[in-house]
Amino acid sequence: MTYNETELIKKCQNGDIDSFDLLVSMYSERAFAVAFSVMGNRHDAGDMTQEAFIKVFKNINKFNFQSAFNTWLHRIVKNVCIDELRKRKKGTIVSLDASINSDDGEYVMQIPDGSPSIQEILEREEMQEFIWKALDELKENHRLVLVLADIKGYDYTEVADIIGVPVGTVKSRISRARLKLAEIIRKKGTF
Amino acid sequence: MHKACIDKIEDLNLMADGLLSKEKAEILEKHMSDCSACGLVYNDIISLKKAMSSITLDVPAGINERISTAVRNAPKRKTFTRHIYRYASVAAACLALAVVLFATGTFNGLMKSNDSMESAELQDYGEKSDGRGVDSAAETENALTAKDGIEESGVLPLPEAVAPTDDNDEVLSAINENLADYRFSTSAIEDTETVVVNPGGIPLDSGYGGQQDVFYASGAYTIEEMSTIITSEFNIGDVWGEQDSLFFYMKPNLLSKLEVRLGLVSAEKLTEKKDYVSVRIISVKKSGE
Repeated sequence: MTYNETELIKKCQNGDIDSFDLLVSMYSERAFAVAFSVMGNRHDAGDMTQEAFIKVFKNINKFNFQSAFNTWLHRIVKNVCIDELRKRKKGTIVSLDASINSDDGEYVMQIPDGSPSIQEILEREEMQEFIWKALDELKENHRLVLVLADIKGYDYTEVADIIGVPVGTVKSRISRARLKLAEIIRKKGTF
Repeated sequence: MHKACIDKIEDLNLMADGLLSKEKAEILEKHMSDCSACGLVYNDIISLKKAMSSITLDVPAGINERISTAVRNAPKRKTFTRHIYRYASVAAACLALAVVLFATGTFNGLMKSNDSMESAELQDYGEKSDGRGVDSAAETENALTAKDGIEESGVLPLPEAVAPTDDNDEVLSAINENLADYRFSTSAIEDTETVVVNPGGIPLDSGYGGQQDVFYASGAYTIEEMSTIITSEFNIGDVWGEQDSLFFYMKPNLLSKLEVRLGLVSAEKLTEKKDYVSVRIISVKKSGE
């Protein structure tokens, strides 16, 4: 059964908690994926998802339909996670990985001669754990698009909708993220 | 060492996702037959996609029920109305003070050196007061409510900060003390749930809503100092903050100037600007450091 998102939100704004339950069931998977991409583990991601939805419920009256609910939710989830990480680390939490552009801007990726392919590396490693560790080294924005697009299987438009950026940005971000991930995997798999 | 061609990278990814047009795909395939590096990158992308698609990331069992229970057990939310009342009470106090100033003829002197501040609300009200006088607190309250239409529009235009002058520091200090209370407060916000800003005329929204530009502060200023600069130099009506963050809305055309003024480092900048942008500044420098 599908529900009209706008109607559900309006009902929530009138205090209908049952409608909020339906909203949760519609969006908890996406929210969890976002939380996971920031927190890096299922336990924390679950807690942050819960925390975020409580905030959404408390602030649902402020949602004015000027942005997509998805985007609004994503922002809350992300902020909840960032605030939690900042509480833990008491400092800046977003790491900025190095640009993949070379100095001359002409080339983007260098592959050492004779280095194993990504497929070869992944075949010989415990693949899931290996990829998660590699994903963990990406900056959060890159990890997020890969979790949403390549792991959760959302298409570019859906990813753009969730994180609130244009589709063009999603394309370039996914492109860079994959290259960066390949670079990390190759380094990890080579040593 | 193989080098992949930078201008082909995005297309290689799109082709791996099946999103490249047939014509472009044919051109790219021809290129890959000549460029082994691009071929390797393409194979890597395919391998990564395959590997990641096999990863499961299921939502923990029972999480929806957990959330449902948590929402039902959550403390009653701090309502928007509470903030309106809070704003309204402070604004009413400020206006009452302004009325006294008009009545005693001191306000015009205070406003002369205040060209950069948008004190339209006070000035407008003052002009009316000059013409007809203000007889009672009740009339002041009525004027405020009728003019602002707080409940109807959800927008509460508040008087901007008044810069201290030599003319009447004591009175202005009292005004600014009140203004500071609602413009920026760490003690009044227990957590991050409520971020309401109102730079006058811009619809109220949650700081979490919509897109947000995120910056890291350079550490040159405390958040209180940044708040003061933002309100006084950039005419931002309200800046809300918590322990190490600031939230506010502003016109996008002032954003670059703000970056330079505060030495901000952009962490997440929007590519599409709207009429106004939601800004979040994260600072690691605390007061007193």
